[in-house]
Amino acid sequence: MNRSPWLLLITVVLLQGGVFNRIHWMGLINPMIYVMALVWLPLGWNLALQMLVAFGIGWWVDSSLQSGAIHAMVSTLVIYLRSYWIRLTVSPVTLQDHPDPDLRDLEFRSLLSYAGGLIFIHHAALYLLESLRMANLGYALLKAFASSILVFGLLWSILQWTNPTKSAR
Amino acid sequence: MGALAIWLFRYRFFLWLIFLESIGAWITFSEQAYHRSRLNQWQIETAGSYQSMIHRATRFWRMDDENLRLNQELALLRQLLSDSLVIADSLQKTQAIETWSDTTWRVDLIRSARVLYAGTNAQHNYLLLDKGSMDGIQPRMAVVQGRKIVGQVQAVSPRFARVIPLINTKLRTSALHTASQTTGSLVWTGGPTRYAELMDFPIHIPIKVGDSLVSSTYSSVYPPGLRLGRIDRIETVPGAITYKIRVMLSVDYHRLDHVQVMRPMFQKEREELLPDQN
Repeated sequence: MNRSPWLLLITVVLLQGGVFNRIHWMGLINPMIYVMALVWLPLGWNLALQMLVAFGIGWWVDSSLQSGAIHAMVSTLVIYLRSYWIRLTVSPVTLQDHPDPDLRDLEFRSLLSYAGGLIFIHHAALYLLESLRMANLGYALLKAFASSILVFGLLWSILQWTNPTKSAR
Repeated sequence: MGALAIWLFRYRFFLWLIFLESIGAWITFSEQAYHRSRLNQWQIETAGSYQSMIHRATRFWRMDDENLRLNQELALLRQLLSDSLVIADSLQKTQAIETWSDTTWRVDLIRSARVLYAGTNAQHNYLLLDKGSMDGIQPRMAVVQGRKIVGQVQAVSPRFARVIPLINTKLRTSALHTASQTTGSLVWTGGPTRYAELMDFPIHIPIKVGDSLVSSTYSSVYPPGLRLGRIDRIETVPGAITYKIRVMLSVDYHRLDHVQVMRPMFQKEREELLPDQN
Protein backbone atom coordinates (compact mmCIF):
# COMPACT_ATOMS: atom_id res chain seq x y z
CA MET A 1 0.00 0.00 0.00
CA ASN A 2 1.83 3.06 -1.22
CA ARG A 3 -0.90 5.63 -1.09
CA SER A 4 -0.85 8.29 1.61
CA PRO A 5 -4.27 9.46 2.71
CA TRP A 6 -3.12 12.58 4.54
CA LEU A 7 -3.06 15.00 1.60
CA LEU A 8 -6.51 13.98 0.44
CA LEU A 9 -7.74 13.95 4.02
CA ILE A 10 -6.59 17.48 4.79
CA THR A 11 -7.78 18.79 1.42
CA VAL A 12 -11.29 17.35 1.64
CA VAL A 13 -11.75 18.30 5.27
CA LEU A 14 -10.76 21.90 4.52
CA LEU A 15 -12.94 21.95 1.40
CA GLN A 16 -15.82 20.50 3.37
CA GLY A 17 -15.59 23.19 6.04
CA GLY A 18 -14.94 26.04 3.61
CA VAL A 19 -17.10 25.24 0.62
CA PHE A 20 -19.28 22.15 0.70
CA ASN A 21 -20.97 22.83 4.03
CA ARG A 22 -22.57 25.86 2.41
CA ILE A 23 -24.03 23.91 -0.49
CA HIS A 24 -27.74 23.08 -0.13
CA TRP A 25 -29.03 22.71 -3.67
CA MET A 26 -32.80 22.49 -3.77
CA GLY A 27 -32.78 21.30 -0.17
CA LEU A 28 -31.66 17.92 -1.47
CA ILE A 29 -27.99 18.05 -2.25
CA ASN A 30 -25.67 18.71 0.67
CA PRO A 31 -22.55 16.72 -0.24
CA MET A 32 -20.24 15.47 2.48
CA ILE A 33 -17.05 15.07 0.51
CA TYR A 34 -14.95 14.22 3.57
CA VAL A 35 -16.37 10.72 3.29
CA MET A 36 -13.96 10.26 0.36
CA ALA A 37 -11.09 10.44 2.83
CA LEU A 38 -12.76 7.75 4.94
CA VAL A 39 -13.13 5.47 1.94
CA TRP A 40 -9.53 6.22 0.99
CA LEU A 41 -8.07 5.34 4.43
CA PRO A 42 -5.79 2.28 4.09
CA LEU A 43 -7.45 -0.94 5.21
CA GLY A 44 -4.07 -2.13 6.45
CA TRP A 45 -4.21 0.21 9.41
CA ASN A 46 -5.43 -1.10 12.73
CA LEU A 47 -9.22 -0.85 12.74
CA ALA A 48 -9.25 0.84 16.15
CA LEU A 49 -6.92 3.53 14.81
CA GLN A 50 -9.02 3.92 11.66
CA MET A 51 -12.12 4.42 13.79
CA LEU A 52 -10.35 6.97 15.95
CA VAL A 53 -9.16 8.90 12.89
CA ALA A 54 -12.69 8.76 11.45
CA PHE A 55 -14.12 10.04 14.71
CA GLY A 56 -11.62 12.89 14.66
CA ILE A 57 -12.44 13.82 11.06
CA GLY A 58 -16.14 13.73 11.76
CA TRP A 59 -15.77 15.80 14.87
CA TRP A 60 -13.77 18.39 12.98
CA VAL A 61 -16.62 18.73 10.52
CA ASP A 62 -19.11 18.80 13.41
CA SER A 63 -17.26 21.66 15.03
CA SER A 64 -17.50 23.72 11.85
CA LEU A 65 -21.20 22.90 11.46
CA GLN A 66 -22.02 23.05 15.20
CA SER A 67 -23.84 19.75 14.90
CA GLY A 68 -22.81 18.03 18.12
CA ALA A 69 -20.97 14.87 17.10
CA ILE A 70 -23.31 13.51 14.42
CA HIS A 71 -20.65 13.38 11.73
CA ALA A 72 -18.20 11.78 14.17
CA MET A 73 -20.69 9.03 14.98
CA VAL A 74 -21.55 8.34 11.36
CA SER A 75 -17.92 8.38 10.22
CA THR A 76 -16.94 5.88 12.91
CA LEU A 77 -19.81 3.63 11.91
CA VAL A 78 -18.84 3.78 8.24
CA ILE A 79 -15.24 2.85 8.98
CA TYR A 80 -16.37 -0.05 11.15
CA LEU A 81 -18.72 -1.34 8.44
CA ARG A 82 -16.11 -0.83 5.72
CA SER A 83 -14.08 -3.90 6.69
CA TYR A 84 -17.19 -6.08 6.22
CA TRP A 85 -18.61 -4.13 3.30
CA ILE A 86 -15.49 -4.65 1.16
CA ARG A 87 -15.87 -8.44 1.42
CA LEU A 88 -19.41 -8.14 0.08
CA THR A 89 -18.67 -5.80 -2.77
CA VAL A 90 -15.17 -6.56 -4.07
CA SER A 91 -14.43 -9.89 -5.70
CA PRO A 92 -12.56 -12.43 -3.52
CA VAL A 93 -9.94 -12.82 -6.26
CA THR A 94 -9.04 -9.14 -6.09
CA LEU A 95 -8.94 -9.24 -2.31
CA GLN A 96 -6.70 -12.32 -2.37
CA ASP A 97 -4.18 -10.54 -4.61
CA HIS A 98 -4.57 -7.15 -2.88
CA PRO A 99 -5.99 -7.40 0.66
CA ASP A 100 -5.85 -3.61 0.80
CA PRO A 101 -6.80 -2.64 -2.76
CA ASP A 102 -6.18 0.83 -4.11
CA LEU A 103 -9.43 2.39 -5.27
CA ARG A 104 -7.76 3.16 -8.62
CA ASP A 105 -7.23 -0.54 -9.24
CA LEU A 106 -10.88 -1.49 -8.75
CA GLU A 107 -13.24 -2.09 -11.65
CA PHE A 108 -16.00 0.46 -12.00
CA ARG A 109 -18.64 -1.99 -10.81
CA SER A 110 -16.72 -2.87 -7.66
CA LEU A 111 -15.88 0.77 -7.07
CA LEU A 112 -19.53 1.75 -7.42
CA SER A 113 -20.77 -0.90 -5.03
CA TYR A 114 -17.92 -0.48 -2.53
CA ALA A 115 -17.23 3.26 -2.45
CA GLY A 116 -20.69 4.29 -3.70
CA GLY A 117 -22.34 2.01 -1.14
CA LEU A 118 -20.27 3.41 1.72
CA ILE A 119 -20.93 6.98 0.62
CA PHE A 120 -24.65 6.28 0.50
CA ILE A 121 -24.63 4.55 3.91
CA HIS A 122 -22.79 7.54 5.34
CA HIS A 123 -25.21 10.10 3.94
CA ALA A 124 -28.31 8.08 4.80
CA ALA A 125 -27.18 7.49 8.39
CA LEU A 126 -26.21 11.14 8.69
CA TYR A 127 -29.54 12.55 7.52
CA LEU A 128 -31.50 10.07 9.61
CA LEU A 129 -29.49 10.93 12.69
CA GLU A 130 -29.91 14.59 11.90
CA SER A 131 -33.71 14.42 11.81
CA LEU A 132 -34.14 11.56 14.33
CA ARG A 133 -37.56 10.81 12.87
CA MET A 134 -38.50 7.62 11.10
CA ALA A 135 -41.24 9.60 9.38
CA ASN A 136 -38.49 11.41 7.46
CA LEU A 137 -36.94 8.16 6.21
CA GLY A 138 -38.06 8.64 2.61
CA TYR A 139 -36.81 12.20 2.42
CA ALA A 140 -33.54 11.29 4.13
CA LEU A 141 -32.90 8.47 1.66
CA LEU A 142 -33.72 10.70 -1.30
CA LYS A 143 -31.38 13.39 0.01
CA ALA A 144 -28.69 10.78 0.69
CA PHE A 145 -29.08 9.37 -2.81
CA ALA A 146 -28.80 12.77 -4.49
CA SER A 147 -25.77 13.82 -2.44
CA SER A 148 -24.10 10.42 -2.83
CA ILE A 149 -24.27 10.65 -6.62
CA LEU A 150 -22.42 13.94 -6.51
CA VAL A 151 -19.76 12.74 -4.05
CA PHE A 152 -19.23 9.49 -5.92
CA GLY A 153 -18.91 11.42 -9.19
CA LEU A 154 -16.29 13.63 -7.60
CA LEU A 155 -14.41 10.64 -6.21
CA TRP A 156 -14.49 8.90 -9.57
CA SER A 157 -13.17 12.03 -11.29
CA ILE A 158 -10.30 12.28 -8.81
CA LEU A 159 -9.45 8.62 -9.35
CA GLN A 160 -9.45 9.08 -13.12
CA TRP A 161 -7.30 12.16 -12.83
CA THR A 162 -4.74 10.57 -10.48
CA ASN A 163 -4.59 7.16 -12.20
CA PRO A 164 -1.28 7.11 -14.13
CA THR A 165 -2.13 4.06 -16.24
CA LYS A 166 -5.46 5.41 -17.44
CA SER A 167 -4.04 8.88 -18.00
CA ALA A 168 -1.31 7.43 -20.17
CA ARG A 169 -3.81 5.68 -22.44
CA MET B 1 -12.08 -15.19 33.39
CA GLY B 2 -10.18 -16.59 30.42
CA ALA B 3 -13.42 -16.91 28.45
CA LEU B 4 -14.28 -13.29 29.24
CA ALA B 5 -10.86 -12.14 28.05
CA ILE B 6 -11.29 -14.11 24.82
CA TRP B 7 -14.77 -12.65 24.33
CA LEU B 8 -13.49 -9.12 24.97
CA PHE B 9 -10.60 -9.60 22.56
CA ARG B 10 -12.86 -11.07 19.90
CA TYR B 11 -15.31 -8.18 20.06
CA ARG B 12 -12.75 -5.47 20.83
CA PHE B 13 -13.48 -3.45 17.68
CA PHE B 14 -17.20 -3.63 18.21
CA LEU B 15 -16.77 -2.51 21.83
CA TRP B 16 -14.51 0.30 20.62
CA LEU B 17 -17.23 1.30 18.16
CA ILE B 18 -19.82 1.33 20.95
CA PHE B 19 -17.48 3.43 23.10
CA LEU B 20 -16.88 6.03 20.38
CA GLU B 21 -20.56 6.12 19.42
CA SER B 22 -21.49 6.64 23.07
CA ILE B 23 -19.14 9.60 23.30
CA GLY B 24 -20.62 10.99 20.08
CA ALA B 25 -24.17 10.50 21.35
CA TRP B 26 -23.31 12.14 24.67
CA ILE B 27 -21.82 15.17 22.93
CA THR B 28 -24.73 15.42 20.51
CA PHE B 29 -27.47 15.10 23.11
CA SER B 30 -25.80 17.52 25.49
CA GLU B 31 -25.09 20.17 22.83
CA GLN B 32 -28.08 19.95 20.50
CA ALA B 33 -31.38 21.19 21.90
CA TYR B 34 -33.33 19.53 19.09
CA HIS B 35 -31.78 16.11 19.70
CA ARG B 36 -32.25 16.46 23.44
CA SER B 37 -35.93 17.21 22.98
CA ARG B 38 -36.35 14.25 20.61
CA LEU B 39 -34.65 12.00 23.15
CA ASN B 40 -36.92 13.34 25.85
CA GLN B 41 -39.99 12.63 23.75
CA TRP B 42 -38.72 9.17 22.94
CA GLN B 43 -38.17 8.46 26.64
CA ILE B 44 -41.71 9.54 27.45
CA GLU B 45 -43.13 7.47 24.59
CA THR B 46 -41.16 4.38 25.58
CA ALA B 47 -41.96 4.68 29.26
CA GLY B 48 -45.60 5.33 28.36
CA SER B 49 -45.89 2.29 26.12
CA TYR B 50 -44.23 0.09 28.72
CA GLN B 51 -46.38 1.35 31.58
CA SER B 52 -49.48 1.11 29.40
CA MET B 53 -48.69 -2.55 28.80
CA ILE B 54 -48.14 -3.19 32.52
CA HIS B 55 -51.31 -1.30 33.35
CA ARG B 56 -53.40 -3.33 30.91
CA ALA B 57 -52.00 -6.51 32.42
CA THR B 58 -52.71 -5.54 36.03
CA ARG B 59 -55.98 -3.64 35.50
CA PHE B 60 -58.10 -6.75 35.84
CA TRP B 61 -56.93 -7.44 39.40
CA ARG B 62 -57.46 -3.86 40.47
CA MET B 63 -61.05 -3.70 39.23
CA ASP B 64 -62.73 -4.10 42.64
CA ASP B 65 -60.83 -1.24 44.22
CA GLU B 66 -61.38 0.85 41.13
CA ASN B 67 -65.15 0.28 41.13
CA LEU B 68 -65.30 1.27 44.76
CA ARG B 69 -63.36 4.45 44.09
CA LEU B 70 -65.49 5.33 41.07
CA ASN B 71 -68.66 4.82 43.09
CA GLN B 72 -67.36 7.12 45.78
CA GLU B 73 -66.42 9.71 43.21
CA LEU B 74 -69.84 9.44 41.58
CA ALA B 75 -71.47 9.97 44.91
CA LEU B 76 -69.32 13.00 45.59
CA LEU B 77 -70.12 14.49 42.18
CA ARG B 78 -73.84 14.01 42.75
CA GLN B 79 -73.51 15.70 46.09
CA LEU B 80 -71.68 18.64 44.53
CA LEU B 81 -74.31 18.91 41.82
CA SER B 82 -77.15 18.99 44.28
CA ASP B 83 -75.28 21.50 46.42
CA SER B 84 -74.88 23.83 43.49
CA LEU B 85 -78.58 23.67 42.63
CA VAL B 86 -79.86 24.84 45.98
CA ILE B 87 -79.14 28.21 47.55
CA ALA B 88 -76.01 27.88 49.63
CA ASP B 89 -76.79 28.17 53.29
CA SER B 90 -73.30 28.20 54.69
CA LEU B 91 -70.38 30.50 54.12
CA GLN B 92 -68.14 27.63 53.07
CA LYS B 93 -70.51 26.49 50.30
CA THR B 94 -70.97 30.03 49.06
CA GLN B 95 -67.24 30.48 48.82
CA ALA B 96 -66.84 27.28 46.88
CA ILE B 97 -69.45 28.22 44.30
CA GLU B 98 -68.12 31.75 43.93
CA THR B 99 -64.62 30.51 43.40
CA TRP B 100 -65.67 28.45 40.42
CA SER B 101 -67.97 31.03 38.97
CA ASP B 102 -65.22 33.64 38.90
CA THR B 103 -64.58 34.34 35.21
CA THR B 104 -60.83 34.59 35.71
CA TRP B 105 -60.69 31.08 37.07
CA ARG B 106 -62.86 29.19 34.67
CA VAL B 107 -61.04 26.34 33.07
CA ASP B 108 -61.03 26.10 29.30
CA LEU B 109 -59.90 22.51 28.99
CA ILE B 110 -60.48 19.44 31.11
CA ARG B 111 -59.33 15.99 30.10
CA SER B 112 -59.62 12.79 32.03
CA ALA B 113 -56.45 10.70 31.97
CA ARG B 114 -55.24 7.46 33.38
CA VAL B 115 -52.08 7.31 35.47
CA LEU B 116 -49.76 4.80 33.85
CA TYR B 117 -46.93 5.24 36.28
CA ALA B 118 -46.57 6.95 39.63
CA GLY B 119 -43.04 7.13 41.00
CA THR B 120 -42.92 7.55 44.77
CA ASN B 121 -39.48 6.32 45.76
CA ALA B 122 -37.22 9.09 44.52
CA GLN B 123 -36.59 12.73 45.34
CA HIS B 124 -37.66 13.79 41.86
CA ASN B 125 -40.77 11.69 41.43
CA TYR B 126 -42.95 11.93 38.38
CA LEU B 127 -46.18 10.51 37.00
CA LEU B 128 -46.95 9.37 33.51
CA LEU B 129 -50.38 9.91 31.96
CA ASP B 130 -51.89 8.20 28.94
CA LYS B 131 -52.90 11.48 27.27
CA GLY B 132 -50.55 13.80 25.40
CA SER B 133 -50.43 16.71 23.02
CA MET B 134 -52.83 14.94 20.65
CA ASP B 135 -55.50 15.35 23.35
CA GLY B 136 -54.65 18.99 23.95
CA ILE B 137 -52.44 18.42 26.98
CA GLN B 138 -49.66 20.98 27.32
CA PRO B 139 -46.91 21.71 29.84
CA ARG B 140 -47.98 23.69 32.93
CA MET B 141 -51.51 22.36 32.99
CA ALA B 142 -52.93 21.43 36.37
CA VAL B 143 -53.44 17.78 37.24
CA VAL B 144 -56.14 17.12 39.82
CA GLN B 145 -58.11 14.25 41.27
CA GLY B 146 -61.58 15.59 41.89
CA ARG B 147 -60.86 18.74 43.89
CA LYS B 148 -57.46 17.59 45.07
CA ILE B 149 -54.24 18.82 43.48
CA VAL B 150 -51.95 16.09 42.14
CA GLY B 151 -49.31 18.16 40.35
CA GLN B 152 -48.63 19.89 37.07
CA VAL B 153 -47.72 18.73 33.57
CA GLN B 154 -44.01 19.05 32.90
CA ALA B 155 -43.56 17.64 29.37
CA VAL B 156 -45.68 16.00 26.72
CA SER B 157 -45.27 13.71 23.76
CA PRO B 158 -48.08 13.09 21.25
CA ARG B 159 -49.62 10.29 23.34
CA PHE B 160 -48.25 10.70 26.86
CA ALA B 161 -47.61 13.37 29.45
CA ARG B 162 -45.10 13.58 32.27
CA VAL B 163 -46.33 15.19 35.47
CA ILE B 164 -44.40 16.65 38.40
CA PRO B 165 -46.42 15.69 41.46
CA LEU B 166 -46.45 17.59 44.75
CA ILE B 167 -44.10 14.89 46.02
CA ASN B 168 -41.20 16.17 43.95
CA THR B 169 -38.56 18.18 45.78
CA LYS B 170 -38.27 20.56 42.81
CA LEU B 171 -41.88 21.70 43.06
CA ARG B 172 -42.93 24.61 45.27
CA THR B 173 -46.64 25.36 45.39
CA SER B 174 -48.38 28.40 46.78
CA ALA B 175 -50.79 27.28 49.54
CA LEU B 176 -53.56 29.30 51.13
CA HIS B 177 -54.42 28.73 54.78
CA THR B 178 -58.18 29.13 54.53
CA ALA B 179 -58.81 30.07 58.15
CA SER B 180 -56.47 33.06 58.12
CA GLN B 181 -56.33 33.70 54.35
CA THR B 182 -52.52 33.66 54.60
CA THR B 183 -50.28 32.04 52.04
CA GLY B 184 -47.19 29.91 52.41
CA SER B 185 -45.18 27.59 50.21
CA LEU B 186 -45.90 23.89 50.16
CA VAL B 187 -42.74 21.87 49.61
CA TRP B 188 -42.07 18.16 49.74
CA THR B 189 -38.67 17.52 51.27
CA GLY B 190 -38.49 13.78 50.67
CA GLY B 191 -39.53 11.01 53.03
CA PRO B 192 -43.13 9.74 53.38
CA THR B 193 -45.29 10.59 50.39
CA ARG B 194 -48.32 11.57 52.50
CA TYR B 195 -46.54 14.49 54.15
CA ALA B 196 -45.10 17.78 52.93
CA GLU B 197 -43.99 20.96 54.66
CA LEU B 198 -45.56 24.41 54.68
CA MET B 199 -42.76 26.94 54.56
CA ASP B 200 -42.60 30.70 55.13
CA PHE B 201 -45.73 30.77 57.30
CA PRO B 202 -45.37 33.68 59.78
CA ILE B 203 -45.46 32.79 63.45
CA HIS B 204 -47.88 35.58 64.44
CA ILE B 205 -50.74 34.01 62.45
CA PRO B 206 -52.96 31.71 64.55
CA ILE B 207 -53.00 28.22 63.14
CA LYS B 208 -54.11 24.81 64.40
CA VAL B 209 -53.87 21.15 63.50
CA GLY B 210 -56.58 20.10 61.04
CA ASP B 211 -56.74 23.47 59.23
CA SER B 212 -57.04 23.04 55.52
CA LEU B 213 -54.74 24.34 52.81
CA VAL B 214 -55.94 25.08 49.32
CA SER B 215 -54.42 26.50 46.15
CA SER B 216 -54.17 30.27 46.20
CA THR B 217 -54.84 32.88 43.56
CA TYR B 218 -51.08 33.40 43.32
CA SER B 219 -50.74 30.30 41.18
CA SER B 220 -51.35 30.55 37.45
CA VAL B 221 -51.37 26.77 37.10
CA TYR B 222 -54.07 25.76 39.59
CA PRO B 223 -57.52 27.24 39.95
CA PRO B 224 -57.84 28.62 43.49
CA GLY B 225 -59.64 26.65 46.16
CA LEU B 226 -58.40 23.18 45.21
CA ARG B 227 -57.34 21.06 48.17
CA LEU B 228 -53.67 20.57 48.91
CA GLY B 229 -53.84 19.02 52.36
CA ARG B 230 -54.43 19.51 56.07
CA ILE B 231 -52.10 20.69 58.78
CA ASP B 232 -50.89 17.65 60.64
CA ARG B 233 -48.25 18.94 63.05
CA ILE B 234 -47.08 22.39 64.13
CA GLU B 235 -43.72 23.12 65.69
CA THR B 236 -42.18 26.38 66.73
CA VAL B 237 -38.46 26.82 66.59
CA PRO B 238 -37.02 29.21 69.21
CA GLY B 239 -35.89 32.41 67.57
CA ALA B 240 -37.49 31.58 64.21
CA ILE B 241 -40.06 33.89 62.62
CA THR B 242 -41.89 31.09 60.83
CA TYR B 243 -43.54 27.86 61.97
CA LYS B 244 -42.33 24.40 61.09
CA ILE B 245 -45.51 22.85 59.78
CA ARG B 246 -46.11 19.32 58.54
CA VAL B 247 -48.98 18.92 56.10
CA MET B 248 -50.86 15.75 55.30
CA LEU B 249 -51.40 15.82 51.55
CA SER B 250 -54.90 15.25 50.19
CA VAL B 251 -53.73 12.91 47.46
CA ASP B 252 -52.54 9.41 48.18
CA TYR B 253 -50.00 8.84 45.41
CA HIS B 254 -50.01 5.12 46.02
CA ARG B 255 -53.66 4.92 45.01
CA LEU B 256 -53.75 7.16 41.96
CA ASP B 257 -55.52 5.74 38.96
CA HIS B 258 -57.51 8.40 37.14
CA VAL B 259 -56.90 12.14 37.16
CA GLN B 260 -58.20 15.19 35.39
CA VAL B 261 -55.96 17.60 33.54
CA MET B 262 -57.12 21.19 33.31
CA ARG B 263 -55.97 24.60 32.21
CA PRO B 264 -57.30 27.77 33.82
CA MET B 265 -58.69 30.27 31.36
CA PHE B 266 -56.33 33.10 30.38
CA GLN B 267 -53.34 31.18 31.79
CA LYS B 268 -51.10 32.19 28.92
CA GLU B 269 -52.08 35.84 29.12
CA ARG B 270 -51.35 35.83 32.85
CA GLU B 271 -48.02 34.04 32.52
CA GLU B 272 -46.84 36.46 29.88
CA LEU B 273 -47.02 39.19 32.47
CA LEU B 274 -45.69 37.10 35.37
CA PRO B 275 -43.58 34.41 33.72
CA ASP B 276 -42.00 33.10 36.92
CA GLN B 277 -45.23 32.39 38.73
CA ASN B 278 -45.91 28.81 39.76
